[in-house]
Amino acid sequence: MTPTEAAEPLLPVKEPPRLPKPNLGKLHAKPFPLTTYPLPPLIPHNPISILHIAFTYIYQFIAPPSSHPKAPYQAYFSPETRSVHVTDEVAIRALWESGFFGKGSLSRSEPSWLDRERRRRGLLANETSEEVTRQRREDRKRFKKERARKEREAIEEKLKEEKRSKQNSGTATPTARARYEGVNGGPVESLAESIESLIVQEPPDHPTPPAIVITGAGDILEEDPSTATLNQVPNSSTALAHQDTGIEAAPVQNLEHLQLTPSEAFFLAYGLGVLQILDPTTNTPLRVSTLFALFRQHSYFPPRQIPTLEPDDPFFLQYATYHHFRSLGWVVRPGIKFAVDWLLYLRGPVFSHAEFAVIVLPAYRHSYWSGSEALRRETERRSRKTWSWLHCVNRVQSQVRKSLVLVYVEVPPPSALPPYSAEDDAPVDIGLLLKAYKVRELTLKRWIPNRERD
Amino acid sequence: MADIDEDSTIRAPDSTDTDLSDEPQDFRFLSALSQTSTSHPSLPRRGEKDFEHHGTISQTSTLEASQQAMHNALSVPRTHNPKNNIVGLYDPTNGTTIIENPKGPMTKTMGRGDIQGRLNLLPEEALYLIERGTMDLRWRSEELEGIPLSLQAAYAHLLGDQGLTLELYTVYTSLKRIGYVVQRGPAWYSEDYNKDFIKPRQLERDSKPLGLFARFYNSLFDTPHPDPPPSGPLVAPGLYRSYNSIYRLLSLISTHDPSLPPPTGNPSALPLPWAIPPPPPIPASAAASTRGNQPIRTISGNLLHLHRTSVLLSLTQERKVFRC
Repeated sequence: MTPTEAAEPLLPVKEPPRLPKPNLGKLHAKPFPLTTYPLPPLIPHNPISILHIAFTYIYQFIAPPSSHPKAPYQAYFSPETRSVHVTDEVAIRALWESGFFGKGSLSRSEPSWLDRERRRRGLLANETSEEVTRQRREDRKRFKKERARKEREAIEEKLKEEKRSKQNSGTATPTARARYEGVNGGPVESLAESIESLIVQEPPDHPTPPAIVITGAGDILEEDPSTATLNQVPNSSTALAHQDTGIEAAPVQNLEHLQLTPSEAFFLAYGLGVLQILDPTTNTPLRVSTLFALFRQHSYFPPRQIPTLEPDDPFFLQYATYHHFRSLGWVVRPGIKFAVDWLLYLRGPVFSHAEFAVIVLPAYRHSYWSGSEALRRETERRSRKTWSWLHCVNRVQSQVRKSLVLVYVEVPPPSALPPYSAEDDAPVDIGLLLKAYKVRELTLKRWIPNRERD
Repeated sequence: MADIDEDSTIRAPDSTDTDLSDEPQDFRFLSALSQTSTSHPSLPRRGEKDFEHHGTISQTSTLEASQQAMHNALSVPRTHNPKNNIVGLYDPTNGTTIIENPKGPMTKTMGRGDIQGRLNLLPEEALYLIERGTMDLRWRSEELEGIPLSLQAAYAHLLGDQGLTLELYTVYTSLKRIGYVVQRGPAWYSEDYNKDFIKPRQLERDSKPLGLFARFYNSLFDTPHPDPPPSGPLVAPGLYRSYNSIYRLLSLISTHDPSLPPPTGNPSALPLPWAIPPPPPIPASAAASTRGNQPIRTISGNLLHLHRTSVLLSLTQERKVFRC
């Protein structure tokens, strides 16, 4: 017994700190990263409220507070991933908390990599959503394996029983049954019982986080216990080979950034004006008109040149829908998880599930698009979708209980858009460009005559 | 957190997941009720499903029992009750089916009556009644007067008449069997296609308008916001009292108003909820007809019912007063 091991039982095990659960309503109170300054409420029978209002009004008149943050948040455009990266911690929190913009690059949605890393190192005890999901998936896999095993056992038992009874009665076996003798079989009626018994089983406890020791300042952790204890002895004399040794010496560096889709980034830059996007090579801020062209170019792969851009660029359609729903108050997030373009949340993903799944489709109803045969064929090719696609998409959405919304974006003819110049000095009226598009929404639902009687 | 459970798929089977009509029925439950009665009291229920061959005696015997029950059910002789029998007359020269003395609940919702009390039936209705056994169709022509039509003759004459195809007929019969009253829709006769514009339900567009004093009070402190610069932010930095003004500044994209009737004169206009471009092409079998999609009115033949809603438009108002 080494002296370290003898000293172990005398020291209490320190639990990692558990942060209190945040009040989600307060945390996500603002729909955009802008602050509003409402006047205090008027209470007619209370003269002090009138004074309060007058004072606040005069104060705001003299020194008007700004709704925007002092300096716009900085982000980088990454042409390799065709997205915009935000690396500043304050900006990440602000953009996620007010409006649910973006996605953590190493997380499911909310940038929680740092929390997970801290938890892995034993510095935090709060569970993140990724861990809960992983746990649930493991439970499900285990349950399915158990169920399959029980089924197989029941079938084998039944086969044995029948073989025994056949031997007892001494009848000849028909050839069909003899052919399938080797295959596992089973009784139908007892399967249900075996599955019942499985469901009654208690789910196993959550496994505790593995014992991890920090071997050096800022290093990636090693889980080999032998080397860990060897390094442990000279570092500290009091600690255990358990959670909280050397925490203060090794702050975890956040390796995650927030990823914004082009539509989200453009909305923040052009619509709200809170984001400034920098060119990654030159580190200079990009102007909104340049950004617009850049996103349109990068909506194709490989990126197209400016003169070849068209009014039905994918970025145009996606952004028109995004802007439309954001201006109506929905929280719009990318819907790649459910094979759609956008998901609409009422307040945010932390409050409720997405109500609607939006698919963006171009519509070419303007007479320009049916002018020539070539145009007609081209628009036909671009807007045609097969019935099997629609069935698939509808099936996916009904499985996850969302309403499918088809959004048709009316594409204006190229003449309706103001001419686009390649140079940056001519200011482009993006508002005019966007006003030329019209949006039409349709919900889709499969009608099953057997089920619904209305 | 709602975010956690978004990919959870363990839940009770939902009515939208499975389509009962896709699954074959277990006829054992039918035979359990009655073997020799001529009336079929109800549809057989679903039994338990086996996914693979086990090689057990119990499984094969269950299978044989089900198949036997199905054979028994199908081999019941079909009889017609002379009391409820209706005689229909088919005139091959102009392809009309007439019932002289209509009686029975079926004829109440089918066909078109005339002054003399006779009932003119559409071909699909006539076929349906023959299949069901309520009607006995006879010839009405010079040499074949009074002779009953065989089923083959009925099908041969009535299908292809007045635009009826086998696919349309199949849809018609399945819906009628479920219990719907099915009539021809306007898409059958393409000239009337635009006439049937169904105005969508009026949803509550505007929240309760503010009272006089509230509006006056708000107008006292309204600061007018200048027009946004062409490539500048739509919401310029400044003093905003509520998010209403921010949303108002952001609204840029126009939307289509579904309560307006479609513009006339544009043949490619989409007037109706089930004629949306790009129309999801109905599978090749039904699309074979030259007039394109000809859905029977109540239901489209492809199991899709498209609604046009102004739900999202109405949420504008709701959201704009949400944050103050």
